[in-house]
Amino acid sequence: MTAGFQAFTDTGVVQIDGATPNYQLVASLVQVTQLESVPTVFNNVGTQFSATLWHTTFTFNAARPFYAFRADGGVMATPWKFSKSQTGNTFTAEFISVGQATIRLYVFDQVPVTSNRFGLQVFDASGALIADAANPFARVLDVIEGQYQPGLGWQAVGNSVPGPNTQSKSYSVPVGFGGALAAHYFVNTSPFILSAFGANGGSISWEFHQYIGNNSGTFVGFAEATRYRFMVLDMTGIN
Amino acid sequence: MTAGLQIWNASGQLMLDATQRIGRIKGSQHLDGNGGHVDMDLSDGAPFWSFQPDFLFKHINGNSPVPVVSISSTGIVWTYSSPPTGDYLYPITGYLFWGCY
Repeated sequence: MTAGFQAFTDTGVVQIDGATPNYQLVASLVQVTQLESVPTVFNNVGTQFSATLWHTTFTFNAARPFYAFRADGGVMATPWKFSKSQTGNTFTAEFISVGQATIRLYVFDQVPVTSNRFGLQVFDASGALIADAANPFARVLDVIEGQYQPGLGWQAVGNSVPGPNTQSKSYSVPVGFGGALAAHYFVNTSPFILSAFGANGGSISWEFHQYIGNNSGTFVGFAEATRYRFMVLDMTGIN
Repeated sequence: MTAGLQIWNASGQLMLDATQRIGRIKGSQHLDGNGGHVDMDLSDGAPFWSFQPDFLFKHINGNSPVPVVSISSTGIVWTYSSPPTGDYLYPITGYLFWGCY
């Protein structure tokens, strides 16, 4: 770049490069999951099946949102569905939880031009706002991924269904889950087994949670559907 | 920190300093169930990707492959595994984001 603003970490990693939009917080929403009937799968003749789960649906407007979440008190929760309306910029994000939970959804997006009257704003060469000191940044502490059922492609014989495999990790600051992709597995209407993510302050845990049924039986499905992935974000100062 | 940018919020809480890595969006695309790739310079940080699925479950036969994504300093590639049958095939669609942090 010939002009503009750049910022770097102590170790020389780019923070703000003067050209690329930064993820910044544009909205935070809080809802409590309720025990309700949630559509799951349908069959050849169009019969829609459902399951009774702790569930909530967030609705918000954004451009290209990237979401993070955390449930209060370490209750494990799972991003179930994330969809955009056919027209406009209305998005819905659905979550389920292993028990009733207060779920906080944090929406990160390209920062809108605001009437902020303080701080630093950084624009790219075409005049688009790419960083704004008045909005919290998505501060990335870690990226965690794994896969419960090894391999790639469709498997239908010889393998058992993975168990919960609960794991945990701790950080020195309060954290949330960013861009989480849940491992998922089902057969017919039971079991339904999905990644579930819990955070309590700086302590996180995650597992392949048996929401419905259990892991008895033979694994039938795409092995890579049991892959999970999330970013651990520093939530200091973000409520 | 020895040098760099520091940002505080209105209540005086430090929100960013030079010890913290923040995400930058380099690209995004809605995946429609077909493999693809984008070549791009992702060498100025650790590349990351995130996939936000439109759905996880559809037809009861489970014929819903998920995108298998790989990323490097030169770009991002996604593929879908071959299905066991073409019947009631619903690949999982959704937004793929990538960038550096």
